[in-house]
Amino acid sequence: MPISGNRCLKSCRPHTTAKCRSHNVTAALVLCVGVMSLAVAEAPVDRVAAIESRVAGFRDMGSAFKNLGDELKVDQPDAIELESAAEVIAGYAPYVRTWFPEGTEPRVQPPKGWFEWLFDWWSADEDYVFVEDAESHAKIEIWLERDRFERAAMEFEAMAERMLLVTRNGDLDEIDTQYRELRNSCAGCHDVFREELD
Amino acid sequence: MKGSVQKAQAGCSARRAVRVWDGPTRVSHWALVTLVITSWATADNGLHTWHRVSGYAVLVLVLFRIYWGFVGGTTGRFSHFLRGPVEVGRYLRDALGASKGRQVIGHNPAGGWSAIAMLMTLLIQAGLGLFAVDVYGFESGPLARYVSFEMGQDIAELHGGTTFNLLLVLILFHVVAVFSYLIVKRDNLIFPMLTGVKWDVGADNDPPIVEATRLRAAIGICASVLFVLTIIYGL
Repeated sequence: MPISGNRCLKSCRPHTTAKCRSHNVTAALVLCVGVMSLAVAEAPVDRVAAIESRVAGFRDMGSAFKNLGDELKVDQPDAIELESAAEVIAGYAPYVRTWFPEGTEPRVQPPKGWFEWLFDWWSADEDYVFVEDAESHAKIEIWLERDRFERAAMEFEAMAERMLLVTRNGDLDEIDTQYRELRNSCAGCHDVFREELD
Repeated sequence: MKGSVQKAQAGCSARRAVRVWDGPTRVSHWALVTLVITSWATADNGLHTWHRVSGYAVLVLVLFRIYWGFVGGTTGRFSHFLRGPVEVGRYLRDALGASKGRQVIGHNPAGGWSAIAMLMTLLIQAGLGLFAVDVYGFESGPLARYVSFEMGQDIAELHGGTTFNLLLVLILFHVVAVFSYLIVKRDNLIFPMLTGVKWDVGADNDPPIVEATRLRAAIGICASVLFVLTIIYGL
């Protein structure tokens, strides 16, 4: 039965009311998905979540670094501890480049008055930093000098891979040397791309 | 007993020069001054190795000074300068009054507590440093392996924040008090801490110091060094 009265979105061919309703529902769904994907594509990154996620990643790596350092200080380091710490770092390393999307760059902090300065000095509480939403020590240079940052991140990734390799080989001298190399790689990047607030 | 010593020493003239601080007390005082500045400077400039060495030296000196507070020269002993709140209050009333107040050989009742507060804060500060971990997990104290990364960071925050600021406040109070004595009361406390001798002391003051033997000082410093070396390498 050809439709009459109902306005079907797919009206190229005559069809039943039920079929027409089904077409309309499908069209509405397609439209919804389209609008949603458009919204997702254009929506800014969830700044706070992205910053918190990368801070958590860096903290995990910091913890792994501490474990590496702790093991290398004792006379007989635990090979399993060394390897699992290296695994954590090597696991996160490839993601470092993706942790700084547009929209998570630092925002200008309001100038501090004498009271804020005094309170900050007294409390030395890292949480007490005037940022709008999330605390990040990332410098704007990450976004301004993207190529340089990406190169540094890739170098770090390679160093982390090598660290994992040498911990699996188990040669302590090699591990110690690579630990220092990896640390230098981190520090070199921090010097340029991380705000030293503490 | 006190009175007879005073009278015997004050026999010739009303005012005299007396020895008030022994060598180990003075050396530990000025060495701590130097080391606190060194620790601050090395921490601020990322000289972690030197900061650790400086912190170990602080720990050695504080431990030695605590030992010396029990067995050292009389003026450096805790039993000599720790007084109850009533006496501290009475002393402060006199000191803040218009008169020059009673000159004290050694720490005065208020200064004694200030010295204890500084020693304890230094001990806590150096002790926290043993467990502290930096934000990257790169640098840490020798005992940091006994705490988690998170706890090590919390300790580092205390070490670089609250206890350090408390120490600065205590030092500020101490320096302001010393200069107030110098300017307002014309009582030079710096010179005796440098030379060990206090000039122009009234006859009605406490007796001068009875010093402890050098062997006792040597035992104290060796024991403190050994203790700190055990912490660094032995634990």
